[in-house]
Amino acid sequence: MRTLCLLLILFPAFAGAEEAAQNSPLAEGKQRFETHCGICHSLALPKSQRLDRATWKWVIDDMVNEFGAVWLTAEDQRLILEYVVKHYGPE
Amino acid sequence: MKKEPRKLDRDRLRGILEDNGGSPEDLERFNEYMSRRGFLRRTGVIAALAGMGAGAEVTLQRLFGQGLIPVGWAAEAETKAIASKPDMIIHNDRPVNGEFSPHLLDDNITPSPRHFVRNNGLTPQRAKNKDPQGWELAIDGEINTPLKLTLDDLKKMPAITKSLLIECGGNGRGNFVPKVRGNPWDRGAVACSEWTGVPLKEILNRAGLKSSAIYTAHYGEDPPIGAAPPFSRGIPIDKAMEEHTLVAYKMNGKDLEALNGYPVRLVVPGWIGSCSQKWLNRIWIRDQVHDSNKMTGYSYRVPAYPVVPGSRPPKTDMVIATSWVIKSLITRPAANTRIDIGKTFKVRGHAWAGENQVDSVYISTDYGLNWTKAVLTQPRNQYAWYTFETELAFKGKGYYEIWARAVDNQGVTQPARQPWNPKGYLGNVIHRVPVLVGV
Ligand code: HEC
Repeated sequence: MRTLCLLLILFPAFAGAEEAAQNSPLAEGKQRFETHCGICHSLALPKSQRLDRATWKWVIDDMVNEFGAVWLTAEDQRLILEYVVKHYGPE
Repeated sequence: MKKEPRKLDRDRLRGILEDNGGSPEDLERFNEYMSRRGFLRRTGVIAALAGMGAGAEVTLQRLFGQGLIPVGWAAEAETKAIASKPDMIIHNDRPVNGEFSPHLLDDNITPSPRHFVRNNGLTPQRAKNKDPQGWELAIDGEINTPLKLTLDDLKKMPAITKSLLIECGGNGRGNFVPKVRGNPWDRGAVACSEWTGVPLKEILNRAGLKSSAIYTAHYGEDPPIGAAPPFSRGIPIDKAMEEHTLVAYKMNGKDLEALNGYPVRLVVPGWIGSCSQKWLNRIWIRDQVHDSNKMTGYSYRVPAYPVVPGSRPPKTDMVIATSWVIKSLITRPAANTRIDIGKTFKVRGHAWAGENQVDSVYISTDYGLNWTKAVLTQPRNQYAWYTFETELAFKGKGYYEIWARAVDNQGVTQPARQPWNPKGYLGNVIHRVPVLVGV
């Protein structure tokens, strides 16, 4: 099997996935964003973007379908999408 | 119900890695990473580990379950590599992507510490260690004699030294409206350093091209991130056989910088930078247009016709981006410089034109109503940037912008606004530098 290289940065955000269940959808989205979107590349990359919903959806689809973020559930993707659209939308 | 979070310490992490098929090599690296003295405390990782609950473990298991192996220890090393470029504006530290402010690009020959970096994957260990041992360049595919060349083999072949411009295909992306995805390059992902190497055509002639050879496919030894395929692009055989297309092993007279492709990279001047494969180790000669993921879909491709800004045309309407287009960069004065009223000062910069020649450069200080011609200095070889210079003085106080507009030998000039494309390639709008006079 091909070995995939993955950068594992242990963010404090990993902590408390338990409590997260009670969070608001946006807070939950933030947590999942910070947990998953800084693993392969640093979070600086998504944070540098200012994209509309359609483009963010395109980006997240690519992460899952092209680049190997296959573990992201539909729920993860939906929550992350809502979060990035809100916080990293067009100025 | 609140479960007692299970602590995820070093041993458990290692256990998960092992259970999920981490190779002995990965485990070795894991141990080394985790044992580096002071590292854990310094980065707060230990705090993170101590605080990680069962949810975190599930996340990690999901990752490892996909066959993903952590090499997080690379992050620290990227930081070290970045230190070789002290003035770089970092868009992303992993993979490393950074550019320089235009006023730092004033030199005719860009010093190595100011050559931009656009990495798609990680910097190879060999490059960080500057260790050529075991490096080889393989040439295969539509040729008569497959070759394997060591660095010594390469250095024995006839070499040339040229000033050659490399510019990331996304340079200027940050200026597209509406905004597009990708590193938001402003204008500094361009450089013109002096490269020494063997013209690719010498190598291809030695290998003997078959008549079926129409395209190259380049590969390098940089580890991809995630499950991305190895980064690979290619060029038509004609461009590969052009005498300035180099297999380069020296940059400004020295070994290549780790971040710029040590030990060997391609330099395909005038074409978008992704053609100039770094950490090169294989050139596959193909009997069709190269069809890697970075040659197809929306990667390094632009719409075949102007599209509605913000829209996404079908993939079948996208064409490969090839050579750069007419462009200029003002390197003096720097943005937001304060200038005294009536004081004469120099405006300087560079201009380049992909496969064409630069004919002239014009300067405007009134938002493009009036233009005056700058003095243009020819480069010492094709594909190096031209330098322009002129003198200006402002009669009254206020906020002004200095604009530069180059024109190529086909009469093509830079636009104030340009057609939009979904990934923001080939941005070449007029460069505008704000200055403050008498304030
Ligand atoms: C499995 C690894 C992986 C994960 C996890 C991942 N990415 Fe990526 N991402 C990549 C790769 C590979 C690239 C392309 C890098 C390149 O070629 O420079 C990329 C590029 C990007 C880019 C640049 C866009 C472009 O057009 O190049 C953005 C934005 C981005 N990722 C956002 C995200 C977000 C948001 C998440 C979390 C949902 C995420 N990434 C998670 C692998 C990953």
